[in-house]
Amino acid sequence: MGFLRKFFFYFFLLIFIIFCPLIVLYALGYLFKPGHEQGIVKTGLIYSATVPPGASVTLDGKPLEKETPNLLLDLMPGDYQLELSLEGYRPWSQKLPVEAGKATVLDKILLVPEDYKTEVLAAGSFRELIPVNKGNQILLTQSDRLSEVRVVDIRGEAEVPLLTQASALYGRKFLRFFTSPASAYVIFEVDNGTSKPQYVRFRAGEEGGEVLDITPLFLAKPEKIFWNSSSDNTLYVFTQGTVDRLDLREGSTAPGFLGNVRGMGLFEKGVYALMQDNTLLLRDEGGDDKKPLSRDKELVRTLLGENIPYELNVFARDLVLFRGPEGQLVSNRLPYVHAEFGINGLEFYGGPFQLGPRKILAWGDREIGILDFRRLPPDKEIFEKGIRLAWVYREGAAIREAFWVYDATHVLFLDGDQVMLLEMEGFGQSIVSPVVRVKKGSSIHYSEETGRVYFLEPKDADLASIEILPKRKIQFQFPEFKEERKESGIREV
Amino acid sequence: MSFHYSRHNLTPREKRLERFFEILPGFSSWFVLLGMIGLSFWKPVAAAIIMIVFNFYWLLRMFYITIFVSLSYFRLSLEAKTDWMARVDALDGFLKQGSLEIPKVQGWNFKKRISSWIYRRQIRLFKKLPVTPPLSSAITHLVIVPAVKETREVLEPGIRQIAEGSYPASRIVMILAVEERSLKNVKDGAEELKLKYGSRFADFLVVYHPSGLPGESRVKGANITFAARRAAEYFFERGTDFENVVVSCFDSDTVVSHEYFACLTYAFMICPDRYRASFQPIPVYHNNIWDVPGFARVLETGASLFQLTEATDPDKLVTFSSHSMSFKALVEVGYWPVDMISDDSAIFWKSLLHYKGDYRAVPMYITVSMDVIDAGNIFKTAGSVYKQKRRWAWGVENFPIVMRGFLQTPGISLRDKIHHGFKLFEGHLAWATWPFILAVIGWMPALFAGREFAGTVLYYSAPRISGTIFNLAMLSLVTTIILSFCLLPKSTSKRSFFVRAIHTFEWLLVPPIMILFSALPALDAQTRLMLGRYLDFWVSEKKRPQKG
Repeated sequence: MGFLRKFFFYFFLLIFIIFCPLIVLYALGYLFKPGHEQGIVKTGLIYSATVPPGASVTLDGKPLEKETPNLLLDLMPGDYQLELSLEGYRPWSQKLPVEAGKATVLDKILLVPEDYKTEVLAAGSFRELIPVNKGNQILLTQSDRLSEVRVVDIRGEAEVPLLTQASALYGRKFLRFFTSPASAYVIFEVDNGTSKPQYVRFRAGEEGGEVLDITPLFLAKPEKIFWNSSSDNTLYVFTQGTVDRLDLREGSTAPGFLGNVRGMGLFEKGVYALMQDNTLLLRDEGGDDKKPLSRDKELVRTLLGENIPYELNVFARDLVLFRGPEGQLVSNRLPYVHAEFGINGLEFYGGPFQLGPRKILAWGDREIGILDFRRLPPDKEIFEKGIRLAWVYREGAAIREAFWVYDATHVLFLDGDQVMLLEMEGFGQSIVSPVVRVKKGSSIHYSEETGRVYFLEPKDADLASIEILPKRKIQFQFPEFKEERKESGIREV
Repeated sequence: MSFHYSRHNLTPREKRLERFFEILPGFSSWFVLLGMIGLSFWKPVAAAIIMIVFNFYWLLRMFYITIFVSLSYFRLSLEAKTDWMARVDALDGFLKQGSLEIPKVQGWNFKKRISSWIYRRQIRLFKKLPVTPPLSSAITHLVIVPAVKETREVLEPGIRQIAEGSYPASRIVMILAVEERSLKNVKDGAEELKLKYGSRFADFLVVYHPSGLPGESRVKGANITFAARRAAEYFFERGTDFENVVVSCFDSDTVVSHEYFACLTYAFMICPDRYRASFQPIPVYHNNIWDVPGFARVLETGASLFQLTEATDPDKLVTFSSHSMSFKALVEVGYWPVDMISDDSAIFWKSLLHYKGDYRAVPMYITVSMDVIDAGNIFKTAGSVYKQKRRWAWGVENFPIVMRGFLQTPGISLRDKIHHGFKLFEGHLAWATWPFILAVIGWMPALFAGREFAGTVLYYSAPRISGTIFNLAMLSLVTTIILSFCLLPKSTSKRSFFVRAIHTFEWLLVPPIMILFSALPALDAQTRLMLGRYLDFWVSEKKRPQKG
């Protein structure tokens, strides 16, 4: 047995000495290519995953007997034409670079169906579509009467009227409505035949449910009403530079909570305010000021001008974006001014559980851009570059809304009355595909949770939806990682 | 002057050295584990490469072990039907008459032919021995069985098996080593066994070990050493030459094979260095293997297979659990340590140092069966199994003493010191770290991949290579499952086939079982040693069904 032990010990030792370095080199991408002038070459790979999976793979015109998700190994550095095709979907094709030792990863390819299937959710000749409650519910108006406001829950696709016939408000007209992005509440300004309208708060989705008349708390006709989903019973009413705080639970109003305000925004339980004197402050619900956000009035004046009202979008404690009346876009991050005009809207993406890279979608009439706030490695140049607004699409006409799709790899936007899907996953030109036409002047809503876009049909103005992201067909492919895989996830145009 | 094999009563310098070597295994294990975790975060590329190298090394090691566990099992099966008494008689015949005829094997029985070939080789060497052994009739076997909480029901099956074995019990002196602090029912049980079986043995003694003797801890070693000292007095009074006594120390639940003492006698007689050798059988845990939860079954079968593998390398074999040795050697080295938990392995190291490297453990291809811990329900059993494995892993307490011994014992070759020292250290390090690395830490580079790593070929190839390695390792697992079936006794259940089929799937639980009941207890033991929190001895629960 002693002899056998020695024999096998040296045998396996030899195998280890010979094969271990070869395995490590193979793992790093090295291959022995006979005929190649260098013999041993460092290869790269292409990883592709589609939704839905199962697309046939063709590389440089040669069909491979593979389907997505797919790993193409042992590729010599260079450019490759990758084509993916699946029955019922438009073929996808891109020229991809492969670098030595690196992985070219396209793991969020969304295949576009040849024909999108429209599903009618509610028939009713609707005028407007208003998402509430983080988009889980949609308010649909048929006229300016409360009796003709309906609520659709997109998760269960149930539809209920906002009010029952028994309600005293049934049949009354409304003048305006106010919503807050993550809140389930809607505030209607109801015409009661006098110069002082009534303000009523409804909870969307509860037929005959919570209806609260909050008119007595209003001291003036509001320009805007702000509130947070984390504190639904505290409202901030903005009127001509003054902010009143309304406490719905106590039924009280704190007049002049803030005065001389140019703009404000809410985040968690804090009120961020841009003052007329060019200070920026953070005030809590109780009215106590935390440390001033900025004492540098000169800087604020340079960036935000004088007496110009701004909309404050607070996306995180350390991320505030100011949008001006002419579409100026300024943030608290270098280079501060990201656009001097033309920005009509913003959409934030924070990744799963808000732990991912932070990106802002910004759109104007003709273009769509991205501000990417991930942590960047230190600049090699002496002048810090900061974060630039990278334009990814510039061929719009009248872009009105835009949404992140599929973990911020695609953008769904409404250009005029045409819904379009912009794909940013890849190395070539961004691909834009038409999705559906909607009722003229109406808006759309996209829910990443359901993967569907909700809209009003152009002909009958019924509420309909189309599946953009087939949720059931996303397979777990590789472990998620938190940072961008490519040098830049954004292809500028 | 002989090396003092203990961590007590050391000089300050020795104490510092002792603490250094006590800290080393635990520190190394934690360093490896935490180092790999840290590397996975900060240098995932390096961590992934290290994992590939480690996985490949592990795979080759698994293949290596599988080959030898298979060979060892084959050897065990070869000798399963060997008539050891006939071989002992043949040796006696040679010693008396100078001739020994080995009968030819009839037919084409492959196993018999190989067994016969091995026998012939042993006899060839035996005939050239410079010092002839005593006749078997002159050899007295001394059996020491300790008892603390074990009642008669636990002790009796082992004693009965010895009494009814192929070797004449009239040549065996049985000692039940009972702790003075044991309960009355334990003491009464011992006396009842003496009454029942005393007449079948050469003698049957019940020795009561008083508590609190100076220099002793509450350990089994103190109990059996006390009994061995009494045995020495016993043999001295009767003029029995210690050279002709072979001592076997069993656990209270040990049930030896029917041929054990015949095999032991044979091994003792043909061993060239019989007074510088321990004799190590293959421990199995078959007494109640089918009555315990599946994870315990897998664990103990794995332990038996491990011992089978160890048996193929006599140069590095160390005594474990039930074993036998020359009583002369036991007396010369100063008996088992009285202040250490791991007396079974400590006696080997003590003897190795005492005889300046001229000591070995001789494998015997015969089994001794013990109980698997059964504490009544699955949760209590899990807790008890964990404690038992921690006690086994406490064998790491030998490392600092052995290393000090090597530094202070000039007669042992440097090669042997490095050989033994490395095996002892590496064995404990692997025990505490490998399951964690293979099952958990190895996947961390991919899980916590940052941008730098996730865009590389390595990020995608590493899991594929590891997956391939683990698939190849299934060959080892399948072989292990097959061998476990061969080794296990037939289930007495009516649904024997069903029970065995379930056992196959139990092996798929090896990763969590190895972490929870092997690596974790080992890490626990090493950490305690590192922090100077020495373990107290804890007696495992062993049950026998009460006969009504």
